[in-house]
Amino acid sequence: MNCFNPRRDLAARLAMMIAIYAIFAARLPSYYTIPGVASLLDGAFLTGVIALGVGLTMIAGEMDLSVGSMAALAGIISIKLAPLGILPAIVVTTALAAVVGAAQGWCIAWLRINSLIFTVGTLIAFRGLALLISNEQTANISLDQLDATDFLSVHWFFVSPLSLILLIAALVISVFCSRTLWGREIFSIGGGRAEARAAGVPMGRPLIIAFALSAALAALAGAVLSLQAGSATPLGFDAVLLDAVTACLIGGVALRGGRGSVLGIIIGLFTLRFLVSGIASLGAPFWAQSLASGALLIALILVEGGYYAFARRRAFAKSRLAAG
Amino acid sequence: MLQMRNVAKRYGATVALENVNLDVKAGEVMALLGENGAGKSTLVKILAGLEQPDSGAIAIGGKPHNIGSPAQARAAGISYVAQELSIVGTLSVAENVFLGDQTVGLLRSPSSLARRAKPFLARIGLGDIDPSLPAEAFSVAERQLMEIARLLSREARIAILDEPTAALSEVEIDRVKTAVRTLAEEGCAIIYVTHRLGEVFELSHRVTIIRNGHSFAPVATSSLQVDGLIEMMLGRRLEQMFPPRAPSVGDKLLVVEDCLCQGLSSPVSFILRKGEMLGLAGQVGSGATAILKVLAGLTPLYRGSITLDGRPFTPRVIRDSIKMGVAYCSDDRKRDGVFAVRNLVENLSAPVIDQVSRFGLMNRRAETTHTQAVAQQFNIDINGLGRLAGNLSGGNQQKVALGKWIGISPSLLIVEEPTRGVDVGARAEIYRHLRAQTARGLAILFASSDTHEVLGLADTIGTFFQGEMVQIGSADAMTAEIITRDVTHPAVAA
Repeated sequence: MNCFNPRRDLAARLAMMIAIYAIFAARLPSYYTIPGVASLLDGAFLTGVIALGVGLTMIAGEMDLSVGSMAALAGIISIKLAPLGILPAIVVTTALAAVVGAAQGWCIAWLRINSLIFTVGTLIAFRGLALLISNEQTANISLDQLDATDFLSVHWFFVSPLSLILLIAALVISVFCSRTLWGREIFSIGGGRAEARAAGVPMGRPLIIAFALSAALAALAGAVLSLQAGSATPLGFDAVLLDAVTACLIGGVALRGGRGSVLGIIIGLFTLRFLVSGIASLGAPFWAQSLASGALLIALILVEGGYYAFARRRAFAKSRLAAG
Repeated sequence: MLQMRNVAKRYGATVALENVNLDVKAGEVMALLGENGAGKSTLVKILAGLEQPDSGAIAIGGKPHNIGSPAQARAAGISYVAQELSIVGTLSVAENVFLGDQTVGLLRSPSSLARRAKPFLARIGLGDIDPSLPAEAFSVAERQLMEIARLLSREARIAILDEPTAALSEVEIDRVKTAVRTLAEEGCAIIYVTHRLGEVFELSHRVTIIRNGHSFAPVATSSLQVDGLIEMMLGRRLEQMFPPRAPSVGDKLLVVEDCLCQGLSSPVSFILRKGEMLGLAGQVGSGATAILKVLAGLTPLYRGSITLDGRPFTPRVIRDSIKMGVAYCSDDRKRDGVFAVRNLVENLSAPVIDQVSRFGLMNRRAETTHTQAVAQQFNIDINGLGRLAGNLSGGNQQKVALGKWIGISPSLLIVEEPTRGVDVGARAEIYRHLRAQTARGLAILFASSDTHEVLGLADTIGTFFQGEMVQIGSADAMTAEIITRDVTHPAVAA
């Protein structure tokens, strides 16, 4: 009767992540030493935080393509705001981005426009804005402030501020997704927009919230990484969108919306991370990393497609039996 | 409780509602009856806030109300169970019960939501299902019942049920009836739209009939008989609308034997001859269109055999059917009937695009010649072929959707709802063109939920109810009363 069981689906994905981890951990000591694990976690920060936001928009049946540019823009702005203090700079940048993202969501809802089209526009526009504000130069934090950013690089065992932010963001978004009316509305408009509308779900609010969170998370990642490094280039973060989308897809977020979970996104993120870092640590060239993550995604899509076809046929045969 | 006065609504050139009045009292079940296209669905959509009326007034509890959106309808105490489902498959059952309900609170845990949904589900006979499973794990009938659970949870003052039993079996229909009775006893005003006359007599206190966009004064159900009700629904007949039937038909073309497919609960058999028009009458979900989809190559055949012109015919995809000279025109013109943003030439030449092109290059002259020939046969203005299909009226769009298939010189034309969303004048014209094609030997198989259309147009008529063919026979032996009874309430016949 049941052709899709979210728990079993997540369990299968988790098993795949563990298997990939185990394969590489057997050969690479850096997969279980404290500094090694710390660098795996820190390396997942950027893609992870952004994947949470993009994943939300995908669950709403949309996609925010502008996250990379938003992260770059936020990086520049946070460096400019650094004189306010490091934490205030991060908070203000993230809040500004949330407002911009909300406006973006409102436009998409109000114009009833495909978000891909709209966010291609903002993808280009935000990049332009970053270039404008930075004067097409790399923005650097002033030397006397460099010490103030040190706290972003400390490590307690394998935990760092970066991995803590990722963990907190994941927990908050997870609770938001599964336990709040607003979060469930995002799932409902992604799972069936016409059905949700007929049931009385407002169309504007879930889109505004999804895009506001997506922009805010992208800005958070951009600001934190730029401040940690002490500099930001207006052309940065251009590859992060595809990594984030790949992590979401591997984690079981459906492109057509309605399906997905934060735990799934995190599983997808680390599946990708373990695979790419593992291949890199084994000394394979860069093309092998790209090839491996692409092959993983395609293999997964094929397996999923095959499984659905199989489940459909089985459900169908059962219904025929039941009908006599 | 609810009063609607002089409500009117048009869609472009088509008048859906001309002048409708509706009064429903608290604690009353008001049955809303009418043929397909009479305007019932438009009326309930206005009440549900999904459509805005062009004129007229709505008052709830004596106070005038403006219902601009589904949320406003909800605030006014109106709850709506749609004809098309409004259950989101990827959400859990409990979430679907409370979907769109802002009063449940911002924070909710899946388990508490499931606990709160349980009593509402139990009242509709779904007490034994797990509310935390996704809704898509359940059958269409169970999902329909979930919608009624949602209606219960909202404690609505006015409940609208638009054909809530169309997809349900007898046992499930009983659950719906019980829930509706309970709701009415609790003082809710209920508007119950249905095609099943049995339910009208069992459930409703009064009946309002809608015909051609006009409403009639409500009648107490206890003063009505089945026959009288059918007569009121049908009104006068438009005899001159239909061309004369085929004087004679040719050899066997299509033989369908003992066929079972998705949408049918028992196998069907029939024979279609060259030059014959076979009409299958049935409401949505009755299975009348099921075999059409098999013949078009859209759904697989489970059992039985089909031969076309003596050869076995088992299309797997639409292209197979077209190759065999079988053309299919669906009931969803917007989706696959016309290319709205392309002009008529391109629309009409689409099925024969390989005939009017060479090595992948279009031969514009051949295309124009071809489309003009087709346009003339279907009386489409050949000087307006440059216009976009989307700018035409529904009737002219339908002429394009049907006419383009004549271009491939099919032996069999399959049509679902030949005149959905087409005004009366254009209907008569389409009927005439279809009949002219059968005079040349084309066989037409169509399904329709419009009793008049089937009766007036077809040479042979099959009637469908709940996945079964009730009977099939010559149109001469049929009357509107027999067909209406067969497709709404065949039990009376037995």
